Amino acid sequence: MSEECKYWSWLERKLPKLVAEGLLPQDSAEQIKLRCEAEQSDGNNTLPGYFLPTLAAGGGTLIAGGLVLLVSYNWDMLPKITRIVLAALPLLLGACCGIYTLLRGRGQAWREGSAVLTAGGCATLIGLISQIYHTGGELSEFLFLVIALSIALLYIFDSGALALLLTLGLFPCFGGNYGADRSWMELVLYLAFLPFFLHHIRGRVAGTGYYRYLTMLYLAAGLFAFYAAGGGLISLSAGALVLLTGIRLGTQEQTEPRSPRHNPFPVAGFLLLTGLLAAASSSPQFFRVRIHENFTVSIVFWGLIVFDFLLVWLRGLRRGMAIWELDGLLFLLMTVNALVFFLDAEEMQFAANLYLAIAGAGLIFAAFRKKRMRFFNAGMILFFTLAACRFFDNKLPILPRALGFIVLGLGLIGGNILLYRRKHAGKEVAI
Amino acid sequence: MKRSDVVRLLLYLVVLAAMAAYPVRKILQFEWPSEMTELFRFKVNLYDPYDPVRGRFVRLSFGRLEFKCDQPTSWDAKINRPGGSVVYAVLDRRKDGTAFVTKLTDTPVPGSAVLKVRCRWRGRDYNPKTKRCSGKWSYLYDYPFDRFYLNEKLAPEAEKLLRSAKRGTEAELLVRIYPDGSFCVDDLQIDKRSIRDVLRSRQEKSEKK
Repeated sequence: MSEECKYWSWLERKLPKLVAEGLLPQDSAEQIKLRCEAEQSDGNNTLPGYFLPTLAAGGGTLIAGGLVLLVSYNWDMLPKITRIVLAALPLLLGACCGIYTLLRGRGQAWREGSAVLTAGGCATLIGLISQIYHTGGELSEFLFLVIALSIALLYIFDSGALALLLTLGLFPCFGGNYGADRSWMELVLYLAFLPFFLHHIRGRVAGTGYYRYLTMLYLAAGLFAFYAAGGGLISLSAGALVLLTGIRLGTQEQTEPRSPRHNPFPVAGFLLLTGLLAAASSSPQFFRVRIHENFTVSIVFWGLIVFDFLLVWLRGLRRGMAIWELDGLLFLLMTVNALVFFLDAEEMQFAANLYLAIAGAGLIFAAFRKKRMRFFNAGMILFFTLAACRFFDNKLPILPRALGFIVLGLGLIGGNILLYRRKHAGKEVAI
Repeated sequence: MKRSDVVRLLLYLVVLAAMAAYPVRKILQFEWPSEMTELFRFKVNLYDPYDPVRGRFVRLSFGRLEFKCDQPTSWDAKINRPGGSVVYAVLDRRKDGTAFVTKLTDTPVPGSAVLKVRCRWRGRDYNPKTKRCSGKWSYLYDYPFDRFYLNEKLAPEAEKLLRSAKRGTEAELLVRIYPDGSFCVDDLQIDKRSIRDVLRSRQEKSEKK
């Protein structure tokens, strides 16, 4: 059932109540009911929007797979010049399709197809030239080249499908020499995606929900790539930025309520930060980064994140958005994070533990002040994370650990009961 | 045609030119090299895997590639990290004409044939017989070429040929080395004959029988 269909169904269900309360005359209710039935019937007869593109993508993949097998079958018997011409054919096809699309101003389906075909043609040509001349090479280098050459197509065709493929390609591209130092080129390649995603997550263009999830994937690729180079410093700052962006987007869209699934940033940002803080709390290795060995790339990347963070925060203030308790906690996190330049790894591990406790307490305090169950649960998750990390910490004696767990468990149950009672005593504001 | 699409079209043509430039440059570099290239022979073993995308090829094995020297160099601190480090191997020829590495450096050596290799481990040279470390340093590296493409009939035949070959039969990979450290595999030879010729003549013989 499509999204619109659900609204019509909801309206139909509410009609008897509205008539009973005298808010709606019987005649109007019947007319609205007829309209609801008609709309639902139309909506149920249409195929979901993703059905045809999925079929087309599946069919295209099968055809491409067949062609690959056909070409690789006795490919060696063809003369070299024929092989080079054959290798260039997909790119030529993509070029013809792209030029036609732009000349005739065709719609989004053509643009998506042209972008994917051109990028695929480029990958095929480079791969086959490497095969014809037996030059070998590594998958990560190949993908780096293909992504670098294809990234402009994202902007030219505004292609969501190509964005997905290139973002997925970032994982093997950066994973090939995982742990190795990242070069300037890799940083530039990664950041080249950023304007595209920033443009699409703001909610002013179609498919915002899709792009927001895709941005999550993009951020995960960045974390995967640059963790080894920048460690906790970069990871925690990026997590804070994701959470702040999510909060800002959520506040911005309060006037136009949407499903929480439409904005995955707050949940993803919170879970990411919790996971990273758990890692930071568990092991001093998390902050034992090679900042001094890889200083320039680390500091530039971290500086960019901090700059973005401040930009998002200040823009929110300018638009009159409220300062949340979380804003303060995230600023505290950025400050704690910057201590990595002055403290050693063990001291940073202690700072991460302290931060988890402060953030947990801060959220619980905010929950009681604003009577928000969500804040309370978030605070308790942070406390639980801290407790779980300490459960396996053999540096602490067993008895204090055991007592700590019991107190935390009782606190969770008691706090939940207290908040629930206050919420249902008629003092609660909607969350 | 909208103005924005005109700009997009111009940008698209630039991107297409860039996409075509890389393979064209490679083809020109391999077919008509601007500088003198050198041909080196590398002793190899082969076996035949199958890849659904790349088709048939033979996997090349060079055994344990190790370089030993007396002193660790200043550039090798990054080698033991995951992913290793790309360095230049200076090549020379033995009396029998096969290639060997004389030195590993972080920059190309002018006037010498160099090949970019990935060095993945560095440590004290350990002698398992004496169970002691010698005074030398050992570097493990990989050549950048590890496969040779053959068609689906010839690739398994190549593996069988070498397995059933007489003692002393040698497979050699002919690699053209460019001054910047890049390379192009020229041919795979068995007893100085191209593997394709050897296998085709075997196939013709078996068909006649």
